[in-house]
Amino acid sequence: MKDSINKELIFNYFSGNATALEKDLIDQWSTDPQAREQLFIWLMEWENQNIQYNADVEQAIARHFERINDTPVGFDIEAERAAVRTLAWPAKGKSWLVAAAVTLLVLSGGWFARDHVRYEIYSTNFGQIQRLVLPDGSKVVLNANSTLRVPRFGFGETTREVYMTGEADFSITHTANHQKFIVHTAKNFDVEVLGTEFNVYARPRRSRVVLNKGKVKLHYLKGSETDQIVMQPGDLVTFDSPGRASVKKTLNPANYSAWKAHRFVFENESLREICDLFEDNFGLKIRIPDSTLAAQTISGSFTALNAEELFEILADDSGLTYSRSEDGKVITLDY
Amino acid sequence: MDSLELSDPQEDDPGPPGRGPDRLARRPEFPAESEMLLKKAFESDTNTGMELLFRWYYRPLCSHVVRYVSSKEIAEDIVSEVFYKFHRDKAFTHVETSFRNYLFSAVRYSAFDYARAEMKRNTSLEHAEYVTLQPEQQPDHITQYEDLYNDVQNAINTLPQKQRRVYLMHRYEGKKYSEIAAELGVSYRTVESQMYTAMQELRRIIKAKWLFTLLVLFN
Repeated sequence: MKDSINKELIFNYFSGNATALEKDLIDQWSTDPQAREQLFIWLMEWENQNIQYNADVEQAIARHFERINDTPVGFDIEAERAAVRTLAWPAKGKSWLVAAAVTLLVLSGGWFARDHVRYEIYSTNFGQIQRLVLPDGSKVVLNANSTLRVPRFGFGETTREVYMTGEADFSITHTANHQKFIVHTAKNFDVEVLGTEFNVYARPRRSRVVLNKGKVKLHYLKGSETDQIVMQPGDLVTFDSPGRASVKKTLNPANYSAWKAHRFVFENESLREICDLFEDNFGLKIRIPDSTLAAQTISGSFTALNAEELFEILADDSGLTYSRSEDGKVITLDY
Repeated sequence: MDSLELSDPQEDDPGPPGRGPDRLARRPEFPAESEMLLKKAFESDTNTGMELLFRWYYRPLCSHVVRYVSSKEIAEDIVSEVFYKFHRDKAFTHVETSFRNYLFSAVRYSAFDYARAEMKRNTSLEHAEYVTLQPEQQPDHITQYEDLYNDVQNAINTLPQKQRRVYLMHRYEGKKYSEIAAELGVSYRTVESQMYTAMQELRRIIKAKWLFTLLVLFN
């Protein structure tokens, strides 16, 4: 099949002359990273042959460097976020008073703040997504209304263990000494990792783990005993409210991480379940008085940056009407 | 700039050999190997790398984006923004694909999102800028990108000739209504109303197909 993809076909496709079948072929072909590189080599060549207008490169370069030079040196999004969490330190004067106050604060607040001392705590508000890089190089994307606690001391030296609530997507780096990475949840299960990509969802109503790549081991509490499940890529493990686990296969594990790109993918999801998502991720309560309507399902892939946008798309698309309560916090959905 | 001399690509193009210092700007065609040279340039000096990146990719990228947004200014803003973030976030230190792949993917995403926002309602570029570019952001199918710009082009072509002319003069060439009115010898009001009708019509055509494909796409 791959043999039938050539420069001529791709150029035809760029010019808008490819058939539906050919496009399908290109879609499949381009999922391969090397094919994608090739696609962009050809796209570059095609654009250079069909240049739409002569953009002023010199002017663009001049503007770029002017803008970059205006940007503060060492600008770094992660650092900026961290700065918000750091206490501003008074520069001078009355320093003894500050010292005394700090000592008192540390002594009295120490017990309460001990979590903050032992752990770096990341948390997201409703509708916010945060990207983190842990000291061991592992990447975590924290979904809305979620927290992640990472030990400040000894992380990556003796163990790699983090604590999370809500939902997060993990991409764990493998260490030379095969060190385990463990995600503890407030629910009845923990995830033990051996270098991999997966999504953990642990919210009050439901919990689940979806494995994208690699291998993880779930430790969970079944009644009063502990049990284990070893997950293979594409496995989806859900826990019901009594804490029983069930394993399913999913063809599209990546759909469960689509939220990282502000995309929402639903596969036969009922409106009721979608309302839960609004409440968990955006803090928005949606009421559906009609139970038949609440049971209706939606399938689709939606891109939305905030609750408003997603809600408008869903309501418009299904031809439903909605009204807002006076404080704007509750939305009622009806035919 | 010695690195420019060094990186002149020879293969894939049997054309005449280089003829002067500005040949890169005039004949920007680059084999895959030139990516290596780019990475080397970035290793020695970021600014040199950025300048090279602009000379190689800025023009084809603008040409690509203008197919979606049909406005030179917006196209250049989108491409410049991608370069800016690439530099500011030092993306060149951790990009795993080729720079070409990264830049094209990023501008396609921005252009697509801009077009999507524009057809949904009257949205300015602020919206497109608000979207944070991330390498894992992919459309469901790569062919959606080409489908969208082809549809935009086709929709413009279906406009009545006068409307199309006004639309292209305003959007593509960036001319003001008063300039267009003077050039075509019609009143300001005529330009205004033709532009309005053209925008409505384009939005209607694109919306008819894309509202579903873009927003409800699955299965």
